[in-house]
Amino acid sequence: MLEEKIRRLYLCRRPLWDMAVSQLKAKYAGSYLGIWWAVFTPLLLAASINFVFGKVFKVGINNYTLYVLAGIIPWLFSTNALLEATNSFSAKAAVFKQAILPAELIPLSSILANFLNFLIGFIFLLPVFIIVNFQVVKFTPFLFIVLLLHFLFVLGLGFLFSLANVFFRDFTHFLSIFIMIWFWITPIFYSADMLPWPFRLVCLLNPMSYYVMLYQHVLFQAKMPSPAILSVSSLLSILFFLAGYLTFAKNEPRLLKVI
Amino acid sequence: MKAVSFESVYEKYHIKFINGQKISWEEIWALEDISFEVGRGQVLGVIGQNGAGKTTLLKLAAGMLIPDKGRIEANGKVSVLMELGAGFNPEFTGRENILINARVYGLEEEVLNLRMDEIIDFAGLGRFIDAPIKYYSQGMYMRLAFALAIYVEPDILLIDDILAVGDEEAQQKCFKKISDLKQSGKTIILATHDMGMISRLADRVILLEKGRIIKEDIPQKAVPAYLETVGEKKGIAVLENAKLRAVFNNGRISVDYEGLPVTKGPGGYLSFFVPALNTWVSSLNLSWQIKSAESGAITAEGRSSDGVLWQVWIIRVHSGKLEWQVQIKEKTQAPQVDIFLSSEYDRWVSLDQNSNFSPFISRHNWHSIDTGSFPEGLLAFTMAEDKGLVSSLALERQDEDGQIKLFNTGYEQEARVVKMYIQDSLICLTVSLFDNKDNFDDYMKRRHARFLSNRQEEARRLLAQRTISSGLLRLFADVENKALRLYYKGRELTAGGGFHSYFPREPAAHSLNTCQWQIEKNGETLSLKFFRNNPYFTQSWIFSLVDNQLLWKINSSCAGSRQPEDFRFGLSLQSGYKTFFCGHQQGSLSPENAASAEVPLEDPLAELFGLRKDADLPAVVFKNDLSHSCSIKNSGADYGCRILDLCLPPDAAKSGEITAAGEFNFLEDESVIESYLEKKNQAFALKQQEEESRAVASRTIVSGPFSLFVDTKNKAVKIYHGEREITWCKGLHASMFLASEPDWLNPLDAEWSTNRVSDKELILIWDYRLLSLRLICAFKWNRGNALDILVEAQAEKAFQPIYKALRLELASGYGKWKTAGEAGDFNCEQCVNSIVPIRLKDSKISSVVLEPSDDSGPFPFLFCLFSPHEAPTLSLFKKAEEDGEHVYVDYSIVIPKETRIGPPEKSILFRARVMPGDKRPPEESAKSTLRLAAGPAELIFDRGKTRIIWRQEQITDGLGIYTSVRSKGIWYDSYQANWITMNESKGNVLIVKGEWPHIPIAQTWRMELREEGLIYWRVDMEVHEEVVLELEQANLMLSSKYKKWLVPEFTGGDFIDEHPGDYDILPFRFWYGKPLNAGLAATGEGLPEISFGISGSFNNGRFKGIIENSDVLHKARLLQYQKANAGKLSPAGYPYFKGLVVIKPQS
Repeated sequence: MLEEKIRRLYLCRRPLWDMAVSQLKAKYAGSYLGIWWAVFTPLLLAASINFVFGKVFKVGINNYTLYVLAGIIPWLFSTNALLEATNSFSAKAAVFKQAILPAELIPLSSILANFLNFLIGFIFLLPVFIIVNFQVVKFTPFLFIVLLLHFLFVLGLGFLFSLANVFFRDFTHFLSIFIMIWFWITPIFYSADMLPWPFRLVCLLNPMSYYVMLYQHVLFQAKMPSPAILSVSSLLSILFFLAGYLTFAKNEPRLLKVI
Repeated sequence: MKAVSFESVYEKYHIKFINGQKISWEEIWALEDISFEVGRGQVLGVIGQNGAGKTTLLKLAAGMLIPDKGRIEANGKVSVLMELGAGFNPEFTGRENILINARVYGLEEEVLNLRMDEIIDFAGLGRFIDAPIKYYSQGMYMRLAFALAIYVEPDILLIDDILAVGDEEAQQKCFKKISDLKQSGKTIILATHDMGMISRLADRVILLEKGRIIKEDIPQKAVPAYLETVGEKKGIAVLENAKLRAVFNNGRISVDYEGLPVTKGPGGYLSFFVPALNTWVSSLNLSWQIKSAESGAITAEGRSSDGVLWQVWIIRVHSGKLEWQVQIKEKTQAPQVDIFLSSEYDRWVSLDQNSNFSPFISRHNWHSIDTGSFPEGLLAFTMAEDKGLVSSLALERQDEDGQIKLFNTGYEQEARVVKMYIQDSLICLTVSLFDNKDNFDDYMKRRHARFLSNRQEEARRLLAQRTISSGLLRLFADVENKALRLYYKGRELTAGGGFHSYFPREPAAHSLNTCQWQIEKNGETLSLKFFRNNPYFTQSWIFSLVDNQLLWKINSSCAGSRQPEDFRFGLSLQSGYKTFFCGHQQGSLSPENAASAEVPLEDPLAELFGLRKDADLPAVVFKNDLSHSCSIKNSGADYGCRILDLCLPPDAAKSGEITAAGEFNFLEDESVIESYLEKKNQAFALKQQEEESRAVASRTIVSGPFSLFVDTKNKAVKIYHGEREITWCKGLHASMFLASEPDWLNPLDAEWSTNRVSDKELILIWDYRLLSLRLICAFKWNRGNALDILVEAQAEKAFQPIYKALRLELASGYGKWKTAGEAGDFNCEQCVNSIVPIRLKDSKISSVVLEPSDDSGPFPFLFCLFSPHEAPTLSLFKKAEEDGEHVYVDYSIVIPKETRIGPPEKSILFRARVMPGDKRPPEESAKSTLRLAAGPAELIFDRGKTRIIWRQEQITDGLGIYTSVRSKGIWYDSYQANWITMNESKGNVLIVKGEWPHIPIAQTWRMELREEGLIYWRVDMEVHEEVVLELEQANLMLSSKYKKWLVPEFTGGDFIDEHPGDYDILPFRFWYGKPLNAGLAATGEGLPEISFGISGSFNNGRFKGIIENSDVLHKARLLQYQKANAGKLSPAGYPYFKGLVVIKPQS
């Protein structure tokens, strides 16, 4: 069963790629700056956070802008990917009905499109970190592991969310609110260390925090990711991916009937 | 190998029901226990009503749904063609969408590039391929989706009823493509409502009903099964008996036998016209309810939407037969039953004919094969070759003479259609079906044998009932062929319909053919009744035979106040008859009888008429003792008969009724006819004689021994002295030559009519109808037996006459003639152009005396004209005509150019007189001549010709001094002109002016006679209109007593005494050359030498001098000067000629 699913997915690798690329293209179709938005969006967000928290609230972190940037980039990927995955079935119902595609392809392509978007922006912004701290170069290989773990996590969650939204149309509205809250409880513009106990628990119970911290370790602190966090996030990624995918596969017949 | 297989597949849906506030979820099974397999290359059709689960089944096959239970296998690449245009992004162009979707289908880039053009071409989008899809029409969407689905080379193609979209052409294209895919071994699952497509494409069909497969079979069986189940359940019933199965489904019947469909498509149903709705309604439109259903029989009621009961159907099946009875309860118009039979039936058989169905030729329209009522209402259908695809069937309608029509439907939906018109409100049909063709053939043979024996028996019975005979005659009323036949010694005398009656009546002529016939035999009397309703018309005939005599009596009446006119009664006989008689008349009939023609009868009221016997045909005598009018006709080749008719007069009908009676005799001994003919002939001859003498008297006027008779029959005006005719043949005629006509008016072409005014006076009118011109001759005997003739012309439009002539043809026996100045005989034999001229000279004479050659000859008479100022030319000549030689006395007159004959006045053409006696006519009136005298010489000018008299002897001859011009090859002499005197002849000079007829010129002559015998002559010409004058001449015509000619100081010679008969003038031309000053001269014994010279001013080299003999008319010598002109002459005055005639007394 699983084997069969993987075989079909493999057969559909081209359409998947096409869908992702065309979704990415569609995102920036008609805009002047195009893919540069992948660079500007995190920069602008980082700048504005820097203004509020660095200058107004005076957060005591050196190179605060860089710190925020290191966290905001993965954060933007996560939220955008999850939002689009959630809406993917309603957005792509037509394609799905016509073509004989594995249902997984629908959320997968949305997440993949955002992942590509993220990578492009990341490639442009990586030199910023390197210029500021050349030490970062030494640890960039670790980024591949981080990226993989992060991607798996988002994918698993994406499966769950897309499925949820098919059966509960309220989910997408809930999600947009939840993401706002999520932002505050993720250590992007602050450090987890800055939180006192027991409030730090909120942060640590948020799985997203670990992935953000991994990026911060590599890009900002230019050190090897802490093995503890790495192992926790690996565990989380596998857990979320399996949970997401298996739930999705189990509910696929129902899903097909509803669409 | 299986391409697709389903094993006990179940699929359910959760459906949310919202009823106000109450929301409930229910599980609905879309498919239950579905199992089937489709082999590679097979086409599976999926049919069923909406909601039966077709689409779910396809989605499951495509993997777009996952079954709740069971297993589905699909081996190969699956392509789905389902919802229109799905999967297309409307913002992208067609090409981009193809690319994106093709990748989704997993098509390799290179392959796709190769196929792109093919896809675009198939989709037929043209430039639109590069336009965003949102601009596409629905048809374009469909074609693009279809093109895409098939060009991605699927192994399995799933199609869900989308082909209904698009125009005919696109559908055909798609249909063809699907067929191609099928050919190339693709597996196709096709869900559709289009039964035609299913029938043509699918190898097998599964029929779904409420999510279950209720039938899986070949399309020929599954499709009818589906059609049976479509519809309201309360209106569906199935009847089965052995191998026969009939399904009634809401107003239609479909039948199959041994599982093979007999009917096709809609099967059998009724259609009828409802005047209230002004529309055609089919039994399918009614709402049906099965009222009773027993084994083998049902009763169904069909009501309209407002509950009115329209029809009751009773259907029974038993022992291989289907009985179908329809009662029509509500009044409708033109109800008819249509039965669609399988197109496998290619042959139909009835008891008296059979034929193969023609192939399907018309795509959409029904094509009529045959029409008629079939004997015993039996019509059977079978196959020329038994392929075992359908069972032969025999259809029998109880009302045997009902009309049945056969059709082929359009080949889109191939079926044979039997259309039966329902006469009353009831039709009962029995359909018998047969296990095999042998049984069918046996059955038909039995029926046919029975039919034949019935028919023979019937024919025998009828023959006896409809025949009377007596002696050698037998009369038989052949009702089948609507003919009344008469036999003599066993041979039929009549032809065609035999006895008939006829009268013209709107809209078509009445004929017995269109009537109903009723026959009654009473002993040896045969009474026949013919009637027709619209328009109402009835006739009764009573025939009886007595020996060889046929007595008839006829009574006819018809509706309406209009009386039948031209009522005829008679009989048509064999064309072996060749001779007819009617009264005294007897004649032969055209043996070929090629064209229809009435024989003209001289005495149509004769008491007897008929046909003479011919070989073994006896003479037919039609007794007409009531003096009706008879008619004998050749029918022409189409009917090949002789028709004897009695035509009743228009007033024969009394209040629309006609009664007539009479008898025919059939004789081999013709003595009766012969004696009748003889008697009639004598009477006729007598009568004719009487009539003739009466006619002659009415056209004769008499004076003393003389009489004038106008023979209108031979078109001649004859004058008699006693019994002896003075005139001959055509007698006295007047005629004209009109500018508009090519020839003289011929009185023979005119219609002649006479009016005898009194004993002495008669008016004769020649009416030229075509010209609207009438010549009116008034003849009147005057004192002294003088016949005065006045000829006038009366025209309805203006005519331009050129000549007129009054001509008298002379009886033989006249030998001499004399005029005022001359006399002669008729002995000349020299012929010119078939005319022997006796006197064609032109001296204008208006009276002549004609005398017999000896005492035994006819009475001498004077023929004169009272119009001297018109200068008539008297001609006497003999003319050889087809029927021999004729002698004519002819006055002809040239009419001045400006003269017109026309309305309103009558124009007098001639006043003339024919008077007995031989008194020489008086001298012509001198008024018309001018005379100059000087010494012994006298010069007399007389209308364009001038005589010279020397010592009381005329030395000129014929025309004397005259001019002549030639225009367009025709000579115009000065004597033809109309001359007027310009001076009173004072002293020695005369001046005259002549206007030429026919050509627009005039000449002024000035002549002066001197004592010395000198004549000065000057001619000036005026041209009125542009004209061509090729030759101009000035002439001196001398007496033939001149024997020598000379050109003084140059040459000379003798004249010879022969004259050119025709225009062969050269042997008689003695000299031709440039004139010398001394001129041309001639001498003769006892005559003064005369010379004719041209004035120096005219001798400019253009004139040539000529000395020659004149033609045979004048027998004179000619001295002339001639000038040739090249071009046209414009209107102006021209000097014409100036010359001098010198008379030298003998020395």
